[in-house]
Amino acid sequence: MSRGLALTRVALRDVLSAVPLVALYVGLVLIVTALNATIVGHFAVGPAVAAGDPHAVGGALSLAAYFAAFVSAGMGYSVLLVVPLTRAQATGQVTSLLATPVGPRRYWRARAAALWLPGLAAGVVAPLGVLAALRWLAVPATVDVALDGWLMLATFVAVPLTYVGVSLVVNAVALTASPNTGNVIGIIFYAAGSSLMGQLLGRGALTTQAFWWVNAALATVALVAGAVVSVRVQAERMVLACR
Amino acid sequence: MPMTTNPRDARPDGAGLRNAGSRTGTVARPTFTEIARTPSMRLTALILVLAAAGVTVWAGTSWRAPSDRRLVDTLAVLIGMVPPLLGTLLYVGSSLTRDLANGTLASLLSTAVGPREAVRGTTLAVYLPGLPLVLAVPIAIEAASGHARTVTVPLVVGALVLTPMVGWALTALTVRLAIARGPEIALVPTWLVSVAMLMGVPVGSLLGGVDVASWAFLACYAVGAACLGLAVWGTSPALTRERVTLAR
Repeated sequence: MSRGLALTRVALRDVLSAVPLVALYVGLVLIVTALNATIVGHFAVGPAVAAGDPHAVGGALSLAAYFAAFVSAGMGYSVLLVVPLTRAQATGQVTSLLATPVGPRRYWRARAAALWLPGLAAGVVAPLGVLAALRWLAVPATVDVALDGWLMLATFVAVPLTYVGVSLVVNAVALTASPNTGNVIGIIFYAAGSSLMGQLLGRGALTTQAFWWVNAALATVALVAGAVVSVRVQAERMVLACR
Repeated sequence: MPMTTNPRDARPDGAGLRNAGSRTGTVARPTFTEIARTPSMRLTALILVLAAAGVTVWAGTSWRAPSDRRLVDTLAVLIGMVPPLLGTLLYVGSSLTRDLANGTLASLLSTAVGPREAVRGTTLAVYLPGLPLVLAVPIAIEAASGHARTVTVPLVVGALVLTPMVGWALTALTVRLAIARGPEIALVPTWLVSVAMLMGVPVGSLLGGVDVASWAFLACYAVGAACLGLAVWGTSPALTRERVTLAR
């Protein structure tokens, strides 16, 4: 357990050591969150405030928070994965670690955790920022706000759990095939996932309770996929992927 | 001593330029082959083609609403930025990082190939595979939407001239920065500019503040493209053999 934590710390330092990439991630999260808040504020919060319905206003704010979490957490996989891992592979760090008692799966889990943690931070801070910004800037103080509990549950529970599975899958592919392929999987997931969820919620196809269950199912599928790809994580594959 | 220009290129009979072109091709060809053989690049190309087909089909079915019309135009102008963006991200993030880390690029520069030829060859190899999509998809989208005969001049210039130029400038800037200062810092301007444009312009269009078919947008876009061109030109002094060797 302590070896796993130490490995995670090292992997996290590796991921976060590239200051320009971390700054880029923060910049992207800010841009995407601001645009998300602008769209939802204009098309959903404004009409809900005009109607004076606290549940509609809270629903719109919760919707903005959900998408801020989903996209902010996902963008980390396209920014923070490839360069640090490619460098670790090219400089022999991966193969050196595999020659120690650290097994391939422990290293894989450590890298997955190290990539998941920045996404978790962004996935918590960005929705809170959106909620606060919209509450103060788009909703008059006289209007009550009742946040949607199901959407909040999806935002702060289902999304982080989903990205645990995604992180495991992306890192398994990146370590055993190529970092680029893992990167492509990450990009496809958050781009297609946010678009699909937007269609489901935006077109009113689901109630927010049903939407929570869809998210819970997605998290379960991602975690199962993470468990399934563990069979790929072998020292031989990881060494060959470093070529 | 900085060697941004190879002394052999100074020959007055034009042979120097031919040699520089040949060396650029020497870098571009294997890089292109490497890109074409990489599974993740193939996967990305397949996804891009499928996405282009999907967007074209969507454009063919949703042109009736005026708001959709504006969205179709926005897509036609901006979609050309996606192939260079993804190509740059994938190549610079992985293959170029590896070449810098294991010294391949530094070894290459100990031959007759100079830093500018390496940059030019790499940029060509990363940019050219996506160029057919960059040029064809806007035409396909407008044709499918049934408004090919009513497109405005700013829309055509924006989609078929400025966007490919911006894509080229972003690719060149990223490759130059990656080779001169390291891959981490190289991805920052590309991603920030691309995401700000790819998301900001559609949001502006949705809110009614941006019309990509207008002369005002074309003027702003041209100024932005010129600024990018200046940024690319501004990196030229950094392209020395010493910097490339140290940019691991």
